[in-house]
Amino acid sequence: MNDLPKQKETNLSFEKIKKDILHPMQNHKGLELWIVFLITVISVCGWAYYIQLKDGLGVTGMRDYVSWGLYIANFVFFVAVSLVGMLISSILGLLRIDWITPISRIAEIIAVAFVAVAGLVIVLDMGRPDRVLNVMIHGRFQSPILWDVTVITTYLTVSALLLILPMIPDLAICKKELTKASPIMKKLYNILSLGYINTPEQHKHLHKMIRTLMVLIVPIGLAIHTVTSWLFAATLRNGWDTTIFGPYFVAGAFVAGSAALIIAMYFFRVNYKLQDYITDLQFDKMGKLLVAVCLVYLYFNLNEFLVPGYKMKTGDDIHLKELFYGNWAIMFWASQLLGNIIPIILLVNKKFRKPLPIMIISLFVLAGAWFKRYVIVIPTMLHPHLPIQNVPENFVHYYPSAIEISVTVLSFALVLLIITVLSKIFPVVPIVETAESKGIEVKIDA
Amino acid sequence: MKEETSNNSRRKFLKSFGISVGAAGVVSSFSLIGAAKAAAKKPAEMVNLLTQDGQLVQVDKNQLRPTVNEPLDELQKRGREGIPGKSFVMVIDLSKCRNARKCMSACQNHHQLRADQHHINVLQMQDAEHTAPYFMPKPCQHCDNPPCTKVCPVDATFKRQDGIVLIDNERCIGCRFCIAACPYSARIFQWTEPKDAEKYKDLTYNIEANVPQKKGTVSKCLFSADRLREDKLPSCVSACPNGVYYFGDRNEDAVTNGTTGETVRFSKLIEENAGYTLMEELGTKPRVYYLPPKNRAFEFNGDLLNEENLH
Amino acid sequence: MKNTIKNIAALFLIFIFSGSLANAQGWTVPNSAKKKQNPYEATSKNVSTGKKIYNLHCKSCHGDPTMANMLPLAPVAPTDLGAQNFLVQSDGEIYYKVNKGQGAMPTFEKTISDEDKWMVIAFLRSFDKNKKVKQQVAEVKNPEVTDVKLELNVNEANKTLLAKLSGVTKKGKRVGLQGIEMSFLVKRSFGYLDVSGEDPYTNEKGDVTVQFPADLPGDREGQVNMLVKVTDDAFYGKLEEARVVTLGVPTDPVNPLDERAMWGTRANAPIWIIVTFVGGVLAIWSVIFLVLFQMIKLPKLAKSKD
Repeated sequence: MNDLPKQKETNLSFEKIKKDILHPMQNHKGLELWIVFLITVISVCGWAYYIQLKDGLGVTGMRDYVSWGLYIANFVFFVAVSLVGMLISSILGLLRIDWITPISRIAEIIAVAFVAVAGLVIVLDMGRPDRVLNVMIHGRFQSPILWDVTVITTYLTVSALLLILPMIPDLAICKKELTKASPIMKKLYNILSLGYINTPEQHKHLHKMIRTLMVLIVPIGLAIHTVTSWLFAATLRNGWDTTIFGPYFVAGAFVAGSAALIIAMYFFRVNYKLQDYITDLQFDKMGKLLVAVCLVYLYFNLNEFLVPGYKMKTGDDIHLKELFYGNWAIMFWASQLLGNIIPIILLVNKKFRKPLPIMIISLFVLAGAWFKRYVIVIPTMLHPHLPIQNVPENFVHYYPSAIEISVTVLSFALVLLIITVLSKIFPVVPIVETAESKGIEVKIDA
Repeated sequence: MKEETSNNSRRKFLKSFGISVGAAGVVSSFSLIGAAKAAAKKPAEMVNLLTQDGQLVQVDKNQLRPTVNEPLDELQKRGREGIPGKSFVMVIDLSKCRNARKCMSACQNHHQLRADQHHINVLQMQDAEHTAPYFMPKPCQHCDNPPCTKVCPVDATFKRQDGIVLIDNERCIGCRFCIAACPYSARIFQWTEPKDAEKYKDLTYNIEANVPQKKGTVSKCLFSADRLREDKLPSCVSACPNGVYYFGDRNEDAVTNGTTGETVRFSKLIEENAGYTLMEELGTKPRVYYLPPKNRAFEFNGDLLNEENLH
Repeated sequence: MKNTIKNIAALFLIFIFSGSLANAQGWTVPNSAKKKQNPYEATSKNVSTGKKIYNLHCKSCHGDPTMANMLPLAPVAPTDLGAQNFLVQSDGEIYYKVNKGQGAMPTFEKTISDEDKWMVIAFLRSFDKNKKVKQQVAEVKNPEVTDVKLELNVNEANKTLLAKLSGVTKKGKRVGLQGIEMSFLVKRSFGYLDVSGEDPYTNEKGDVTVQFPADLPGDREGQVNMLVKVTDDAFYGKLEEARVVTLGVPTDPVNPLDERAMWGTRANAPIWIIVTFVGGVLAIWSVIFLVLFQMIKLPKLAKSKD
């Protein structure tokens, strides 16, 4: 059935697993330098945001017609990528697919980081962030934004729980084995491990709770991106006033999330020297998963563009012409071809599902996903129903300003920082689960 | 996409018809309404005033507006309640519009707006390839099924009992979802400090005039709700020199023309002139009715020549 | 001979000058149009009608005739239509210009009927000092009166209004005043709605009856504020009577906020969306809290086996 090299019969012992996975958490000078770099970037870009707070959103390229720009494209992108947590650890987890065991935690880390920063990005876009509490106090049930805020908070909570709960056995190990850790970290491991010593009852209890959350997060995850799509689909604008935005966005989220996971997998494999755990099998399987979700997304794209293109209704016609062969043609076709179609063609070939090739392809897919969301947000705002007249020339174009780009970089840097910190203080590959999946006995001391 | 820069081409265009925009400019450093037409109606009682930048101006007393004396919470409360028993509508007669833009400048004076910020915008329209172009003033439509109030997360924009849709800039969080939702592009945003922010800083916020404007919040046409409370027609309606605007109460079946002062039956006006609403198929149920440009009072001479100017 | 030439030259220049005044705005009127004459007589009724139409359509820019209070537009201000240098033009010239429009002045060709335009010209002509024909032409039937009174009777059953205009003659007899236009106005939010009908002129008894429209909305009880007045106060000064009458259709204003709606406030939200949101949040978060609570039990399970 499958002609990949069989999993190495265990020259892995429990001790070796522990050593391999815990090692990079304690000795990694490069990682610390990287964190310092990220913090520097965040400080500089944070100052750009301060300028935006002081002078108003006019420092961006947005004006009365393109009133949603780079920030909203980022927001949609971040929410999209965060769905990978649900896809890998919950959907595939509930189906008891076992090749995901080494990578499920990375997926959850990505999910937590991206959804947390997504919530922040939305506040960065607000005209009056000092009034953000108004959403709680005066929130209207009829507004998709209230639903979005609620679902993001819920997804963040459940993803965080799905990060921590399966990690409890590993934290119990960290408590004992990470002797070089600082006292605060030791205390953290102690508290979070909740006295776990792998008794059969604890094991059963814990896994019951995890399975409950895994079931719970599926509707929440589907809801989060569907509700985000309603930010657009609930309006009457050409290009957004379409019924398939919910599933379209969810399918796109799986594409972006899978690509992000592959990139993260590669970096952890290489940097943390986890070749025995994040093996070629994982990349091969993820490659096939990526092809599958890309095909689904391609199907949605065909429907989303061919059907209105056939009819060329007033309003749709100008929008589609701009996308197909007008000002937006390059970005549109690049995101479709480089971000979706060519990856599918390449990844069908086993050669391209090796770690390095697939990582490079995933970079293109992820970049394509970002540009795709830019193409969803901005061209529609440039073609409202009524003509744009009696306003300065710069209202008719949208070019992100330096401040906007800085704040974007800020949000990406925050995401990377969260991922880095989480992967430094927590074992990125599950220790106990890996051992259990290979039939190795696990012993945790009190 | 051809664009007009706000001031220059407008002046040029208006000069060709011998209209000066000087009249409104003199007193624009104050919060006054520059409707020069009003001067012609009643004999003007002129008063001398010192503006905040030291200019001595003579102003028609009819145009002065006292700043509000009520406290903020009372203004907010009555602003949300609206004027009971009324159901305001506007009728715009497209056969009379010649792009004089007195409506636009009167509105901008009333609401502390810059020249490129429009609560009402006069557009050059051409419905289809071989139809005749015309000018169309476009205020907020104050829809009866408003897509904007539906999406506001904090109830900052809302519809009141007299049909007017207002914005509460004490509550608006600046998410701009309402701007995305409005199909008529009727809303604008204060991207920076509003015009003359320093001068208006100490005024109590009047939700029915949306003055003083606030940075980081949304703004739009309010059918001059503050003037309606004093039984006055909206600024744009009063400022038009050509009889384009009618405004009134649908419950009374009567609308009054802002130029001539004539009051007519709303239902009869619509029936006799084939009145319609804008983009009716979107289901927004606007309260602004348009009378098609048949028997035009002025020839169209905009610079709309081809499709590129339309979007 | 020299003098004659001088005179002719002077006259020629004056002719050119006055002609150019009339054509001050480069508004050339074809000769055929200039010859057109006002087909309507300058009766007091026509002048009065013309005044009404003038006030509606012309006054906003041209101001009152002879008062020189027109709108100060630049570079070309509207003319004072009562001034002699305007009225030096023939009726046909004025009629042509009203039809054509120029610049800021609209074309009234299709927006005002021909009859109405001639009425306005008759009204303007009444200011012409050079007109040989007297302003009031052979229609003066009313004697000189004092103590002019306006009486108003309202029949709410068949929705009619009867106005009676009368005055006391020199001989002390109260007589009805005939042929005077009356206005029947209903107060609305921003102005008065004219319900006078086609021909609201007093008859020989000084009476005029108007049928109130059957479908005009009033307040909840069907009341409206009526104002009945003599249209042109040039005749007898300002003479009017205001009264609240129950001739309107009783109308209950519909409050759009009465029903729950997706566009409404939070309190006015459709029930199903409140239930879905609150129910969903409660359901999901109660599971989350349940799980968290169960997690706290985890340490205890360790002890049981030890």
